[in-house]
Amino acid sequence: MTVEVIKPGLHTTVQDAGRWGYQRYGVSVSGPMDGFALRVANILVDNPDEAAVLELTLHGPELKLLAPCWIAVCGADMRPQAAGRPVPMWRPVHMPAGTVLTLGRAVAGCRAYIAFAGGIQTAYVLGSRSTHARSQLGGLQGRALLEGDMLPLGIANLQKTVDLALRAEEQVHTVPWFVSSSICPDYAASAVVRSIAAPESDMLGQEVADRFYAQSYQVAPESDRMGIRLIGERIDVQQHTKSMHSSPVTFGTVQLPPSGNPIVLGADRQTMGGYPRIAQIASVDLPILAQLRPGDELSFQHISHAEAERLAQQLEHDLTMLRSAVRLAVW
Amino acid sequence: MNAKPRFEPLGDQGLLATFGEAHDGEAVATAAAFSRSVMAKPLPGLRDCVPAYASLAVYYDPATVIAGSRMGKREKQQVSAYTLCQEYMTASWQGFHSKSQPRGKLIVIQAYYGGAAGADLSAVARSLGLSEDEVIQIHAKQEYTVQAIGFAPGFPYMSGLDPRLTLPRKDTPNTRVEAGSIGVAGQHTGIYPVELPGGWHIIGRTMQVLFDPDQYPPAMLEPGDRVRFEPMSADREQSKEVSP
Repeated sequence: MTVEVIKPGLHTTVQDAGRWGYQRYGVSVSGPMDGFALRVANILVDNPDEAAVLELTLHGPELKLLAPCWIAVCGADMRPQAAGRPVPMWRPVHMPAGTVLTLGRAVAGCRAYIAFAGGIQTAYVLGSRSTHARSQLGGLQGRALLEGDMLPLGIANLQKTVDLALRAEEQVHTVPWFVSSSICPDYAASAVVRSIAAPESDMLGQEVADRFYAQSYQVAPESDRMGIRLIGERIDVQQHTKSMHSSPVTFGTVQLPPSGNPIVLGADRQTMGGYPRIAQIASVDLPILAQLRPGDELSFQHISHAEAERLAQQLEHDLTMLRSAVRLAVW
Repeated sequence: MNAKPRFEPLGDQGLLATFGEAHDGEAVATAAAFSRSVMAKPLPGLRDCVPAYASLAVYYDPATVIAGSRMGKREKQQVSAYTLCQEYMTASWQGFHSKSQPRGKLIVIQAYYGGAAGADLSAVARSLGLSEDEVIQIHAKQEYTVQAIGFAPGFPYMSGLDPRLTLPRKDTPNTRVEAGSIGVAGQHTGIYPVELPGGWHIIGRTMQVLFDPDQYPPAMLEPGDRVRFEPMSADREQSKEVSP
C-alpha cells in the first residue's frame, strides 16, 4: 500500500486535522488550508476526519498507486487524469494497482486535496502528520514532496475492499453519485469572506472600519500557507489605546501591520502576533480564503459572532449528514 | 489577588482571556498558572491552551463542546459553544482563584558568553558604553521570566532584562543564527532553539537543547518558567591555553 511520487507538483504536502495542543511551546497548528475540502475527501473514502491526505498547491503532482485504492479529489480543479481519462472530483474513485494519477495546473481555486482510503501513514510528530515546512515538522521529513518519495498508506475500510474484490475490475471505476454543490463553499464567486470583530477592532474607529469593509483587496504574490497578504488602499489604526504586546492569534485573524495592508493568517500561522487584530474571518469562510490565488480579489463582510457560530454549526450538521449518506450509498 | 480576567471571542472557535496589562509581571504569571490549571482539568473539546504575556487563548471544537454538555437535543441546536466555554472558564477561574498559584519551574542555563559563541558581545558592549565583562555580569545576575513561547518552536521571550542592556533590534537581521544562541533585543532576552534568521544581538550560546519534537514536553521552557544564566568560562580559557 504505497503511493510513489513521480512528479511532486509545485508545493505538495501531507496534512491532517492539524497539530493541536502544542501552541504553548510555539508549535504552529498547520493542517489544511481548506479544511472543508480535506474533510469531504476523507468522508468520501470512509476515512476518519483526522486521516492524513495530500494538499496540492496551484500545480498538482503525478502519482503512481502501487496497490489498488479508493481515492477522492476535492478542492481546486487541477484537471485530474488517470489512464488517459478525466478523474471526477468530489466523489470516490477506485484506482487499480499501477494507475498513474496526473494533476495539472489549477484552472479554478488554488489548493486541491487527495484522500486515499486508509490514509497516509507517515510518522506522527507531536500527535499529528501535518507538514509545517518552516519548522521542518511532520509529513515527510518536514518538507514538501520530492520526486521519488514513497507515501505509505494504511488499511482501508474492509467492507469496500471486499466489494471491490468482487468486482475485480482492472480499470478506473467510480460511483454514480457525488457531493452536492449546495454544501460546498462558493469558490467561484468573487471572494467575499464573512468576518467578525477581533480584540483590536475598536482601534480602527468607525470611519476607517467602514473603509476596510467597503474596499476590495488584492492577494499579493508573496502569500503562502502562513499568511495571505493583501494589497489595497492603506488603512491605519486611529486610537492607540492599547499597548500592543504579542498576543495569541489564530487561522483567519486579520492583522494590520504598520504598512497599512492587512495580513490574514493561514494554517501555518505563528502562535502569537504583535500587530493589531482588526477582524477575524468566520471559520465557515476559511475555505474561500484558502482557494484564493495571487492577484485574486477579496473583500470582507461583517457579521455577528452568533451568526458565525450558527454557520459553523450548520456546516458541521451538513458534514455529519454527508458521512451518513456516503455510508448508506450504493457503491 | 488578581481581578477576574476579561473574556472575549477569538474567532468562532476560540476564547481570549486577558488578565491585565502585558507588562504586569503578576498578570503574566497568572495567565501562565491559570493555563496549567485549565489543562489539568480540560473541557471536553478543548484543543489548545496558549498563554502569551498577560493573555490566554483557548481553542475548542464547538461540536464536541456542545455534545459534551448535559442538554437536551433541542437545546443543543440553540446553544453557543462560546457561552459553554466561557461558563467553563469562569468556573475554572473560581476554583483556581482560591488556590495558591504554583510558580513556574526554575531552569539554569549554562551560557558561553562572547567569542565565537556570542559574536555580537563586543559590539553590544561598545554601543552600551560597558565592558564585555560588565555585560556578562549584568546579564547573568538577573532572574528572567518566560513571558511567551513563540516566533519559532521553543523560542522563549523572557522579561527581566536589566535596563542597562536595552538595545533596539538589529537594522539588518542575520540570515542565520545558530541554535542555542542567546540574544537580547528591546526589553527581552531570548534563546534561539533551532537555527533561524533573526535580528537579536547575540551575546552567548548554550549547548542545552531547547526544543526536541521527539520528547515530551517538546520544549524545555514554557510560559511562567524562570531562567537564570550560569556563565561558563571553560571553553574560552581552554582555547586560550591551546593557542600559542
